[in-house]
Amino acid sequence: MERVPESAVLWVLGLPFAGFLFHALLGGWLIRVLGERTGKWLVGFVGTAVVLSAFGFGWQLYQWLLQQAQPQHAFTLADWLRIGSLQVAFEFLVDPLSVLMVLIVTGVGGLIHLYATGYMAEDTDYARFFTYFNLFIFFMLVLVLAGNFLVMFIGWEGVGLCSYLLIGFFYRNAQWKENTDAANKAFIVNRIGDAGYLLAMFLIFSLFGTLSFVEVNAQAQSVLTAGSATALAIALLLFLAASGKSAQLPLYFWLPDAMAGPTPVSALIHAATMVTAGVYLLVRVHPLLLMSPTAMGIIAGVGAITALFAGTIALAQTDIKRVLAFSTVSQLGYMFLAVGAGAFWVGMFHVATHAFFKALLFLAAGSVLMALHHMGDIRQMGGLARVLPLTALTMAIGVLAIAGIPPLSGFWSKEAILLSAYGAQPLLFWVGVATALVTASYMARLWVLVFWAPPAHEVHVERERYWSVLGVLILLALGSVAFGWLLPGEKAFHEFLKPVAESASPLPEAGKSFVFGVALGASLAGLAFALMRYRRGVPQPEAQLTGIWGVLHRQYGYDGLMRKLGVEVGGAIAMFFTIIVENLIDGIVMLVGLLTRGLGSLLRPVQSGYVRSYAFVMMLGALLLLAAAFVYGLR
Amino acid sequence: MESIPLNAYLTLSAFLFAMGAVGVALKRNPIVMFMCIELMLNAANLAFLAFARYQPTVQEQVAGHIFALFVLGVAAAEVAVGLGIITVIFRLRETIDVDEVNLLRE
Amino acid sequence: MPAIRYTHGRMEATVRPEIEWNALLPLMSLIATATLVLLVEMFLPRGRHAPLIVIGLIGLALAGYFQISLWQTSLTTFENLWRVDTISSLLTLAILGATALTLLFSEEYLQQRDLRYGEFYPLLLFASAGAVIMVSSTNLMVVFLGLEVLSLALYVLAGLARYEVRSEESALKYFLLGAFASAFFLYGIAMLYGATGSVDLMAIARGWGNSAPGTATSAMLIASVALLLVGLAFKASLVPFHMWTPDVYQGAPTIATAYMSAVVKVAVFGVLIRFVEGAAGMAGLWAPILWWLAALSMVVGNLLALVQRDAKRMLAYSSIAHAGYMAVGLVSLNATGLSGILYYLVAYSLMSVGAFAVLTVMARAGDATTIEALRGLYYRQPFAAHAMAVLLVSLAGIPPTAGFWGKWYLFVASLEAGQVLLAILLALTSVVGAAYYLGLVFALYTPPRETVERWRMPAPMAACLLACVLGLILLGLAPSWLTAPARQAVEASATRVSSGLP
Repeated sequence: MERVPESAVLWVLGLPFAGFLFHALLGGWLIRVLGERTGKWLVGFVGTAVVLSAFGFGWQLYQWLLQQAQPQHAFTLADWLRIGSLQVAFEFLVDPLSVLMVLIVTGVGGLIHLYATGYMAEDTDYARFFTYFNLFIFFMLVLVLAGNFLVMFIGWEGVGLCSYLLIGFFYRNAQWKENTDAANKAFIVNRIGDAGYLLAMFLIFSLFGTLSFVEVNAQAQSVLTAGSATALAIALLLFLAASGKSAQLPLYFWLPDAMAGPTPVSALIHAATMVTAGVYLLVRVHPLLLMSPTAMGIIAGVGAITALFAGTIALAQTDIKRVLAFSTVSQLGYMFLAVGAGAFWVGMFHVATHAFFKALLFLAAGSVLMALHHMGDIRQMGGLARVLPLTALTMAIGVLAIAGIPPLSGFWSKEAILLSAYGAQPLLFWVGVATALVTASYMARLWVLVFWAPPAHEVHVERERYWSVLGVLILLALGSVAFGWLLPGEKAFHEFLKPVAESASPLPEAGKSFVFGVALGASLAGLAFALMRYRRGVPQPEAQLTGIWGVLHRQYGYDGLMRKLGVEVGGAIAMFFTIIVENLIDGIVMLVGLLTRGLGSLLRPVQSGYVRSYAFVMMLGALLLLAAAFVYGLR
Repeated sequence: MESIPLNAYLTLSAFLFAMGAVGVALKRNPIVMFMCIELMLNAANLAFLAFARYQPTVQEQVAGHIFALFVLGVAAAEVAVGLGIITVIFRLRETIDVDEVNLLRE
Repeated sequence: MPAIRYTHGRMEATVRPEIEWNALLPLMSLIATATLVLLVEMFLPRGRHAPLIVIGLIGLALAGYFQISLWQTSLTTFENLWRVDTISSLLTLAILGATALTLLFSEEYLQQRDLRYGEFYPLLLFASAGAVIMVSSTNLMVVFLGLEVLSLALYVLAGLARYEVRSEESALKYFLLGAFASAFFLYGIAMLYGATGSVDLMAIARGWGNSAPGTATSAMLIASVALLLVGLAFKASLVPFHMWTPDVYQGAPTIATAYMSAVVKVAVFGVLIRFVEGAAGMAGLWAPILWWLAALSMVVGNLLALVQRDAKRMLAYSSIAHAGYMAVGLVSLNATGLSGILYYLVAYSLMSVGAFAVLTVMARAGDATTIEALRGLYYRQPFAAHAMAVLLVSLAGIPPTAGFWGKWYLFVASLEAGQVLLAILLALTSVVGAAYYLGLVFALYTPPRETVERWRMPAPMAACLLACVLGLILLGLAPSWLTAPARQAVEASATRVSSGLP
C-alpha cells in the first residue's frame, strides 16, 4: 500500500484558503489601485483559479485512489489534543466518498466561481464576495475530507458561517432588512441542527471513546445493540443535524428565504454543495444508522414526505429562485429517501447528478435575472427564448434532466432512487412517483412561463453579455446530459463507491422495467400537463394566488406558523423564565417574609429588600449547605 | 479559669455568629448590617482564642492569637472601605437605606 | 474536658526559618510596583496616567519573569506558608497576564467616562497581589489575607465612578455581601483550627483520618468544610451564592468588571483546586454538594443569560454558568478535571477580559451596554466587532477556539468520573449558551438604524484585543501547549499530597 499523497490533500485545502487570504488582505486594495477593470479581473481570476487548481489536485487524488486495492486512507496531519483519554487529531480521510465530494465541490464550485466573475462584475463588493466564496470552498473541503467528527464539525460550522455571510451579502440595498432576517433565520435554524450534531458527537465519544469515522464505523456493530434506544438516539440526533443543514422537514423553511443571497451563492451553497452535507454525513456514518432500523424508516419517511411537500409548494411559487429553492428541498428529500431505504451510494449518486443540473438551473435563472434587472416574478416574464436563446436552451436541458427524461443525468439517479424505494416500501415508492410527476410539472411550468408563453406586458430585456456566464452554462449543460451514462456511467459510479457506501440490500432487479415505466410515465405526464396549462401564460385563479394556489404558495401555512411560533413561543419562553425563574428566589424570600409577617405582633414585620434578600438567600443557602454536609458527613 | 469549658465559648461564639448572620439578612441600615458582619468576625475571633487555649503546643497556641490579631486588622480595613462607600452613597442619594438602593436588578 | 497545658514562658528555642527569597520575588516585585505607582501618581498632573501604565506593565513583566524562572520548581517556604509549584506558577502568570491586559485598555475608558482617578492603577496592582497570594498558599489564614487584599481593592474599584449611583450601589452590594461571605469563610477557618490545630488545607485530610465519626472533632471538620465552601462559592459566584454577580458586574465600571471577572475566578478556583486535593478524603461529603452547585449554576446562569437585554449583565450571568462548568471539573475528582480547570481558567480569562474590553468602547456612547446599543458595532468599530465575534464564539464553545477544548476537557473528565448526568447537563446547557452568545454576534453585525460615525481604536486596546483573540485561537489549535503542563502540575501536586509531603 502506498502512502496517501498528503501533499495533494494539502494543496486541495490550501489553495482555496490562500485565495481567501489573498482576497481578504489584498482584494479591496487591488481593485482600488489597479482600477475597477483590471482589479476585478485579477480578483476574479485568482478566485476561480485557486478552486480550479484544487480540482486538478482532487483529480490527482482520484487517479491515485483508482490504483489502490484498499479503499480508505486516513492520515493525521497533526495531533490536536492527546492527553489521557483525550485523543483528537487533525485527521483526514481519503476514500471514494470524500474524493467524489472533493471533485463535485471544486469542479462545480470552480465553474460557479467562473460564472460569478461575470454575474458579480458590477457589484461594489466584488472582493468581499470572492473572500467569502473562497472561504466557503475551503470549509466545505474540510467538511468532506474530515477524518473525524470534530474536524468535520469545523467545516460544518464554517460553511454555516459562510452561508450566513453570503445570504446577508446585500446588506446595503433596499431589502437589507429582509436579507439580514433571512441570514439570521438560516443561522438560527441551523443551530438546532448543530445541537443535534454536538449531542450525537458527545454521545458517540462517550460510547466509543473515539471520534474517528473509520473506527466508529468499524466498531458500530460491536458497541451498539441493533435496535437499542441508544442506537436510535444516535441515529436520530445525526438525522436532526443532517435535516438542519439539508433543509428537511421540519427545519426546511430557512432555505427558500436563503435565496436572498446572490444567485451564484444559491447555486453553489444552497443547491449543489452545502445543503448536501447532511446526506454526506449520513452516508459517511451509515454503519451507525444501520444499527437502528426504526431510524432508517424515519429518515426514508421524512425524506419522501419532504420531497412531495416541497414539490407541491414549488407548483405555486411565483419567484423564479423560490421555485428552484423548493425544488432543491424536494430533491434533497429524494436523497434522504434513498439513504433511508439503505441505498447509500444511490443517495450520493443523486447528490452528484443534482449538483450538475441544479447548478445549471440556478445559473440559467441568474442569467434571466441579469437580463431583467433582477425582476424575478415569473408571471411578468414570457417569450424570453427569442432574446436569450442560449439560456433557454441550456435551461431546457436542466429541466429535462431534473424531470428524469432519459438519457439525461437526472433520469439515472432518480430511477435508482425509485428502485430502492420500491424494494424497501411500496408506499414510499408511490410517494416518489407522485413527486416525479410534480417535479416535471413545476419545472416545465417554470420554463414555459419564462421562455415560451406570450409575455404579460413589455419588459426591458438586456441580451446575454458575459462569455463566462454562457460558457459555464454550456459546460454544466453538457455535464447534465452526460453524467450517469457517458462520463462515468451508473455502473462505474457504483463500482467506485461500492467499498464505502454499498447499499444495505441490492436493488431489486425484478421490478426494474415496472419502475422504469411508471416513473417515465409520471414525468411525461407532468411535462405534458404543464405545457398544456401554461402555454398561454398563467391561468387566472393561479395568477391571483387564490384557493388552492394560495395555500400552496403560503407553504400550507407552515412558514407562517413557524414565524408565529418563533415570535410567540420564544416570547412565552422568555416570559416564563423572566417571571418564574428570575423571581423564584425573590418569591421564596417574599413568601418567607409574608409568613413571618403572619406571625404579626410577635415578630417585627419583615420587609423584603434587595441587598437584604440576597443576604437572606445566602444565609438560607449556607444553612442548607451545612445541613447537607452533616447529612453526608455523618452517613 | 478552668471552670469555663470549651463548649461554653463555642456556644457563645456560634450564637454571636448566628445573630450576626440573621442581622445582615434583616437590617436595612448598611451601618447596622456591617456591625452585624463585625459580630460574625468577632465570633470567629472568640472561637480562635478559645481553641488556642486548648492547643497542645506553644506554636499552635500562639497561632490562634495571631489569627485573632490579623482578623482585627482586616476588620479595620473593611470599616475604612465600607464607611467610605456608605458616605459616597449618602452624598449621592441623601439616604443609606439599602432598600432604596436598587437600580440594578432583574 | 481536655487537659489544659497553657505553658507560659516555656518557649522552645526559636530556629530562624529558612526562607527561599526567590519564591517571593514575583509577589515582592508586584507589591513594589504597586507602591511605586501609588507614589508616582501623587506627583503627576491630574489625568496624566501614561507613566503609571508603563511602570505597571514593566513591574508585571518583571514579576512574570521571576515567576517563569521558578517554572518547574516545587517548594514550600516560610514555614509552609508559601508554596511554589506549577499550579501556582500557571495561575500567577494568568493573573499577571489578565492584569496587564486590563492595564492596556483602561485608560481610554477612564478618559471617555471622565473618571480621571489615578488610584485605579495602584488598586489594580494591589488586587493582583492579593490574588497571587491566594493561589500561592495552602495556609488558609494566608489565603484569607490574600482574599481580603483582593476584595477590598475590588470594592473600591467597583465604586470608582463616585458620582454615579449605579457604581456606588454595586460597590455597596459587593462590599456588604462580600464581607458577609468572608465571615463565613473565616468561621470555617476557625473550625478547622479547632479540629486540627492547624489552618492548612492539607490538614483537613489528616484531621478527618484521625477523627472518629460522631466526635466533636469530626463535627467541627464537617462544619469547617461546609463554611469554607460557602465563602469560596460566593467568590466563585456559584448558585445560590451568585446573586450579587449580575448587579455588581453591571454597575461597576466596565474596566473593573473585566478585571474582576477574570482574576477573581482564577484566584478562587486556584484555592478550590487545593481544597479538592486537601479534602479529597472527605469527598463523600462535599462532592454531592458541589454537584448541586455546579448543576444549578450551569442551568440558572445560562437560562437567565438568555433573557438579558444588557450585554454586561448577560456576560455576568454567563460567568455564573462558566463557574458551573469549572465546578464540574472539581466534582470529577480526577486529574483530567483539575487540569481541565487550569486550562479553562486561562481560556476564560482571555475571553472574559477581551469581551468586557470590547464593551468599554461603548464609553463613547454614554456607556450604554444594552444589546440594542451594541447593534451595528461593526459599522462603528469593525476591529472590535470582529474580535468580539471570535471571543463570543469561544465563549459559546465552538471549535477551533480554546473555549471548546475547555468544555470538552471538563466533559470528558466528568465522563471518566462516571458523572454522566452532569456531563449531559454540561453539553445541553452549552448548547443553550451558544444561543445568546451568537445572538449578540448578530446584533454586532446588524446594520444600525441611523448612520453612525467611525470610532478610532487606540493602539493599546487593539493590542489587548489582538492578544486575547490570537491567544484563544492559538490555544484552540494547539491546546497541548497548556494542557500538558497543566496535567503535569496536577499530577505532581497529587503525588505530593498523597505521599504526605508539605
